[in-house]
Amino acid sequence: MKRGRAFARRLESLQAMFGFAATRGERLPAVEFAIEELFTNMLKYGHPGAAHVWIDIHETPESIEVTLIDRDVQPFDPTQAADAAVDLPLQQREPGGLGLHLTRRLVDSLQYEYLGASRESRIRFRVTRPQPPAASEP
Amino acid sequence: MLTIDTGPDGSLRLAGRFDASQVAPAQGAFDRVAGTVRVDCSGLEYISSAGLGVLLKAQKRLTGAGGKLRLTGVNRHIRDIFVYSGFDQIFEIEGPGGDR
Repeated sequence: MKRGRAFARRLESLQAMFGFAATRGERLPAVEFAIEELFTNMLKYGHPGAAHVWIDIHETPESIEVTLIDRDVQPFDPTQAADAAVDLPLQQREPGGLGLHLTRRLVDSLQYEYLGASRESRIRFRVTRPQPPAASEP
Repeated sequence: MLTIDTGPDGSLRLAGRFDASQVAPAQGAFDRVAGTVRVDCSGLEYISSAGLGVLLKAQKRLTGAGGKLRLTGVNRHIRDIFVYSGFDQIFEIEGPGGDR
């Protein structure tokens, strides 16, 4: 099943995005986390005049696949961003840099495509649905 | 929506969702605490990197003055985030059953 919708480029859109991404009445934390981190990156680094970000969702019984589409932007591949230095001692840690690091660990796949002619970035990720626990053997 | 309640002992109780839209009010609450502060996360459903940044900033400030945050009632998903981010090495964290 597929659906898509445009969202205004502001933080206040997050709640509507989370609601849009709910699947079978369930909200998946990994899906919401990835949407938030990728969207807030778009707000920080995208074109401030662009009207909206588009989200496509494709659901199967096993997984949910989300694509965020941003237009009139420079390319930025989130799959190539460096990992955060998470082993540093407390006083050397700096806020920031964790969003993409954690997103890559929470989702099952993350792909990036840039269409130069239209200056369009497409970021797609997939999350496998949690499986119900197996029934105990008698 | 994130709610932050302050207890008479200076502890904090977080409930709801700590996403990027909640950073400003949360920052104010964490800027006001001092010493060793218990943060009850049993009602916290979700946290993003923006929320982690608020916690990190508070922990650095408090430990610099001999205190710290002590996070309790952390659910499984948020605990995974803490492990992936290395926060389990720089915060005292307890799960819902008091396990560390």
